[in-house]
Amino acid sequence: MKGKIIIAICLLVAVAGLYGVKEYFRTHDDLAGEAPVANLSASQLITAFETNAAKSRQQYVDKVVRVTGYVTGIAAEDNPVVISLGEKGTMSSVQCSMDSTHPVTAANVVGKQVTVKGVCTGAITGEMFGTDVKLTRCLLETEKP
Amino acid sequence: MMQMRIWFIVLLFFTAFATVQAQGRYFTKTGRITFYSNAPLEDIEAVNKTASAVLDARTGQIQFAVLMKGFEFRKALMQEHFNENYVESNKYPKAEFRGQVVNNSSVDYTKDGTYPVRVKGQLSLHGVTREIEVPASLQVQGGKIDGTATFHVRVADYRITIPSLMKDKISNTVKVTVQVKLDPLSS
Repeated sequence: MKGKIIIAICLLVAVAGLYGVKEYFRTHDDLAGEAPVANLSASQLITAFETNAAKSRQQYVDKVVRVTGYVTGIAAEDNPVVISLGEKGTMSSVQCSMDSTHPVTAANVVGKQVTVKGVCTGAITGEMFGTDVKLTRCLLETEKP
Repeated sequence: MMQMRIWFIVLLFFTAFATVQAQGRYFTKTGRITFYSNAPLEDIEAVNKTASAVLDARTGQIQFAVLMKGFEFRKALMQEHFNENYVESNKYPKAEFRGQVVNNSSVDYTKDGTYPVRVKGQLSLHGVTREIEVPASLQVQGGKIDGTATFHVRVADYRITIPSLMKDKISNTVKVTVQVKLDPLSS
């Protein structure tokens, strides 16, 4: 009986240890298989945060969203790259920090309409900035010329 | 002769426009802010590549804003702990800096070159606002500005508490590196 208890305790400790190690080394989930909570254009997402920031935070922050818009810029100095979606001539835009496991190069997105899926981290609004909605761990779903 | 005069006026106009633009505002929406903390167990490093920043070359006023949830860690668990237990990003979603290039008059925004500057202002993080002054560098090149700064932040100064279990494993200061590529704001 005592032996069985010792074996059970050892098993429990081993399972807990394995779980701890697995959790410690856990990386971020790939969003490819994740269903978005909303499908929006870049300007719809920007307007949502401009008109009701609190409601938009509840609806979108920490959640996967799918956003479509024109690529107005790309910061491609290092991997992952950041692409900006929006309209030319406006300060407001959506910045998408791309997932490094889904490579994007400047040549295949700049000036095109793309659809991006990513986790919304919120928005920054200021008179000097306009409204910037930020997404992280993004991947490119579709692109149109 | 008349045609030459017109060309001269056009040239003057474009020169004046370029000078006004060069002395105006510069901005980025994709600034890079990294923080690094040396720790016995494992170094802690995170990067945020979507910082917004504006520099007004005329006055030297400078403003940064960054979302805490935008800091990316290699390990998911570390990122979760950072947001939930340390910076409480649901309660305090962004960090902000509003300040001034102290020696702005020593920077010639119309001339390519690297200018060492000092930046002074209010850093707001985790609900606490404190004055900081840090050395920085502005590199003017082709009408654009590359700004860099490295400084240390004591986490206790911003009421970020390290759980007692982790006190010996995590450094109480973090090294912050700011890198921005500022484009002229044409409007």
